[in-house]
Amino acid sequence: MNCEQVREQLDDYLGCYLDEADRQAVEHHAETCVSCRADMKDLKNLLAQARQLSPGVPPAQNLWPAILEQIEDSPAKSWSYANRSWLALAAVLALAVLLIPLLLRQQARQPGEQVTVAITDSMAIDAATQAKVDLARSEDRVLLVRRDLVEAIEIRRDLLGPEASQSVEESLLVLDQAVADIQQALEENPDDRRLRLLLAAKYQHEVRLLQRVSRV
Amino acid sequence: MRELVTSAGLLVDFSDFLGAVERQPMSEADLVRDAQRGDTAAFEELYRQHVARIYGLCLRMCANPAKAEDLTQEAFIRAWRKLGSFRRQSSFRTWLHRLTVNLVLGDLRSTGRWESRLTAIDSLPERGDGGAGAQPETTFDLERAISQLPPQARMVFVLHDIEGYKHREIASLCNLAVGTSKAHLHRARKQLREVLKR
Repeated sequence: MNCEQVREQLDDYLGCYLDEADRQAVEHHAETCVSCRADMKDLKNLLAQARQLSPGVPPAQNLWPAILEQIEDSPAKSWSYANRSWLALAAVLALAVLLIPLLLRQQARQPGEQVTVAITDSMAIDAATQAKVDLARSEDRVLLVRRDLVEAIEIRRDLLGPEASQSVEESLLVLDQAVADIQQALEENPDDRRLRLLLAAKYQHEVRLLQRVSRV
Repeated sequence: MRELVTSAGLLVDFSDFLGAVERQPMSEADLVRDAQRGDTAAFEELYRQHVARIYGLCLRMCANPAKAEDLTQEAFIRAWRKLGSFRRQSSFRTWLHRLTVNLVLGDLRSTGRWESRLTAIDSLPERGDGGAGAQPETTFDLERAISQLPPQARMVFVLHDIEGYKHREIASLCNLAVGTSKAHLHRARKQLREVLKR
């Protein structure tokens, strides 16, 4: 390689784009050519400076309030219960229909008892009926189930490891928020059947979570 | 939820148990998952973790602080709206980074600045002009010199030499041939070396 060829290859050399033969040719030339060696050193210095630039530059002002305003005002749509696609809504409804009877049957069991539940056609039919049950009645039953499970968890408290603890915490926070959101929505739209079913499903999630922890 | 009465009439206080868990920092995966569920607090934490890097990227790519703030803001808003499509095949950081690069490129194209002509080296301000006095001189000089590069050369230099992208990726992102990306990088490096030698 001559000087012109080496200078054309320097960028690729430093970017590790050359194959082994070309890489060795560039290095061999640079060992014997003061000018090309100086060029290579210059370029290496530039790249070293570039690498030393901090990747992060804090903006002069806090941009979060303006961002929050935008994301609260508009297309958090995909997260809004009211704006879920029909498919997601159908899934939620199906879930709620299946879970409500489990929820109600759970109440009849002894505290901390482990139960394997098979979802059958008759249960689905039963669920369709139960979906019409007054929400307040369901809430009362959920509270009873939850109370017993919490008692069972309390007994096993020392056995809970950090992973289970974290799982419980995250899930409870999400569920609490979801329940609060739905309850608020229900206050505004008390006759919205979808919201009622959704709330029932969230209660059931909560029970399942506590049930899982109670088995630790 | 933190205090519940058991069937035996005992008050169960969960504060210690849940409080201990609350103090554990959440992982990025957890924050993303919560944000995907609509949790703006989780998204705010993601914003705080990534805003400096995203703003730095925008600033270097568009060389305009006010514009960089607008683009940073838009990047996070767009990220929020697209979070549902984030499938964790890459890290959130990589996903957000690419989203931002595409956003800035789109902005440069739409405003016609992408094709602007090469800035004459002679027109660059002299060393020591401007603010950012707390930065080391060499760093400041380099930042200033980068900001004066023509848009395409600046973009390729920032992505390749600062952000670590390869020519193939840059070519794909910027809709350029690999050879064109290499030519822009060569021009950027040459111009920067000349400016920094002064």
